[in-house]
Amino acid sequence: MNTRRIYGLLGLVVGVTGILSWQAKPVRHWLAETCFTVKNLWPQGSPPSQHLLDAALWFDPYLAKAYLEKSVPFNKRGDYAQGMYYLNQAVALQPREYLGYRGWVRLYMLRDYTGAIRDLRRYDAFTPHFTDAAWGENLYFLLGLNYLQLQQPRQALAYFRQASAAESRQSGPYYVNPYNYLYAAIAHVSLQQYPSAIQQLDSLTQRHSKCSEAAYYKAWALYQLQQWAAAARSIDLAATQYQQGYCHWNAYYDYPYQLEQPAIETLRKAIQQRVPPARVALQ
Amino acid sequence: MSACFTRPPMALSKRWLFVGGLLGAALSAKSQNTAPYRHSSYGDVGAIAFDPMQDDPRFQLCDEHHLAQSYQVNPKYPLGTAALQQRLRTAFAAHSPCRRATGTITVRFLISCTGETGRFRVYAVDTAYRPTAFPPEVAQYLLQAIRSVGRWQPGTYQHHAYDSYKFLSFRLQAGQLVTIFP
Repeated sequence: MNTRRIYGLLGLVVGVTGILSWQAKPVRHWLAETCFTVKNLWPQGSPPSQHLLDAALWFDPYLAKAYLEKSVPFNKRGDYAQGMYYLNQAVALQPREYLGYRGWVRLYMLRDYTGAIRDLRRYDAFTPHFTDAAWGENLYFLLGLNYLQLQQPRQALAYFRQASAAESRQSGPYYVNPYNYLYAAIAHVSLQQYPSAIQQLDSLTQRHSKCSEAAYYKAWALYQLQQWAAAARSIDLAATQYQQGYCHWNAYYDYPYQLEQPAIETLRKAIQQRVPPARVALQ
Repeated sequence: MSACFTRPPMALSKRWLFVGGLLGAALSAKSQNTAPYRHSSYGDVGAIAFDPMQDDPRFQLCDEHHLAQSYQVNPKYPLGTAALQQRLRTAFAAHSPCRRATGTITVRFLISCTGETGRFRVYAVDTAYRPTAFPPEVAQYLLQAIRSVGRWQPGTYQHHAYDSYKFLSFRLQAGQLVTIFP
């Protein structure tokens, strides 16, 4: 009888311990999620916000999104040692979820093009025969942009074509990202294929008539072809649209080939004075 | 009394939806990162407090308690980013390259509401984004280059000029300046 009682008691202790440890994980996770949500009451990067993310990670060290959130203010403010440390933790825990974001950060925020290509390709390999999007942008578009920045315009063009085809197939030709055409045109310009560049830019303006970058690069291609009158009309349009705010701009980082007023003025002057194209560099 | 009991359950769920919506709006309200926050503190990520050992006491801020991030008020170099980068490259190229320097150096500083710069801090990472130490002369050259570019156009929000943080990152490969960003 005594032995039975001892075994019964042991069984009860083991059972209760098991239930408690089984339940503790969901409770810890719930607390972590709560800390993660409540941190939104404070500004990003403020001490309470970062401390709540620390608490979330204390409750659940596998909460990858908390690592990612911790990384964001560091990367936005130029502390890449901290920012990439936390982002790497998030990627290590959930590569399928966050590898694309890291590739995107490397491209736009860190200008680390080879690193970005490595991340984006690994991300793409998780889902073969499916067009992924990293942080809302077509993966092939991002790969193309990386190759364009690495001065490999042919490779870039192949990816921009792939991105356009995928977007056109998925949502229809009108919904192709207009910057696909813009960067493809810039790739053509760097290959000195000016008529092809103009064709790409016309495709862009058929869909979005107000884009100062399209007008600027069209003016540049026409200038290279020494079509002075058409180039002058295009650069005037670029200046007008730029002043009206129809330009690619972002608060956090400069876009590749982001247009600026001095670049427009330099090209306008060169066109007006009919300076031979070889003497003016693309800005 | 009976009306309370006969109220359809849908009304209750609508009420909860409304309460949930309000709560959601309140929670998301602070997620707006491209407008200056009501207060800033020196405990914020990347904050730069005055350090008498390294900072120029003549550099004055307009309001120590409202330091905005650059992405909230967008301070600009008056001649544009391309001109700024060209000036920095020229200033850096005037010094002999230090071949041991490979990685990224970031200089973070403050731009006052009058366009003056100060409180410079330097952070260096290697190619794997681990903290590293560059030869001190490299940081000195870059600091001199940034100081030499002159005044900035202060960041503004709703026609009000703010003191703001700004940073410039320099990617170096064997002492050669490869890229300046963001």
